[in-house]
Amino acid sequence: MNYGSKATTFSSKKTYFFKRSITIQHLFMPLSEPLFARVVFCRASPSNRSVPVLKKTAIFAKQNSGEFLGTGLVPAIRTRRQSACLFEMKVHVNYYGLLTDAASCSSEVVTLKNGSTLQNLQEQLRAKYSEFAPITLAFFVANKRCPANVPLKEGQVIDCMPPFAGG
Amino acid sequence: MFIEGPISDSILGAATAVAKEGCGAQTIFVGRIRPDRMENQQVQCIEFTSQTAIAEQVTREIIEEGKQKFGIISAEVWHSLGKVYVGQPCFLVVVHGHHRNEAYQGLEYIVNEFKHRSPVFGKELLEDGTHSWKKNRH
Repeated sequence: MNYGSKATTFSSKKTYFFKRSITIQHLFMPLSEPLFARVVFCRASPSNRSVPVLKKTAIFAKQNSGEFLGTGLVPAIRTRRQSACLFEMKVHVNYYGLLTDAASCSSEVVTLKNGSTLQNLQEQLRAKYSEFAPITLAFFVANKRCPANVPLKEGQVIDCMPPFAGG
Repeated sequence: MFIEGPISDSILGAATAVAKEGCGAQTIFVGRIRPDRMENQQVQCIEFTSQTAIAEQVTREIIEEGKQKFGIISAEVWHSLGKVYVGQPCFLVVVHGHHRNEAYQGLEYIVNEFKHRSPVFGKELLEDGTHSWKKNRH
């Protein structure tokens, strides 16, 4: 994860490093504030392939010893992959009945643009699975049937069902 | 409400043995696996699946509606999950009412609404090893 070698808005004499694998905590990224990202700063030795990017700020002035240096908001200069984390979300979709045949699975993770609704999810699924075309789909979120205009959130579990056939 | 496999004789017997207070009429519907033919293949059994949390919630709502609309005293619903073979019972509804008319109407309402609104799905397994998905005729 190259957070951005151009992120030099923090002016100081000391340079800090962050490890590729742990520096950016996606869970902390404020999706509502796409201009900033919350990151975890770590001191790392040059030998472990860390990437120098940021110079010390007042926030981290007292934390210049030890591995963990703290967290903070930094301007978001992002790679394409990081931008995807900020502008996309993932939802978990469960399929039932004949939809399990059409999708060849009983559940999957679907990536959507932030702010997507059930209508957007439905359109995406119908585009992905042509077998869905003649089927009237019903969507349930948190065990409640929801209309198409309901906005979705990151990590939600959605039950996607064909017409029922019990009895 | 959901049981694995066909509805047993003991459940069928127990369903009619209990008399609710004030009950003057009891109506019962038993759904069984029909020996249908699909594209010249005999249906061997139906494998039922469900989103049970939703189905149970919906069924409670339907029974409450039955009480409001027809004045029934109470109702119980059982449905099978997993494989149920031709001739075996897979769906049982028992309605307790003060009088026969409310028990008849309440039973028909609950059976129809359950089939229409409760997320249960049936995979019809055919004799040649293929399958088709059950469609309800409303």
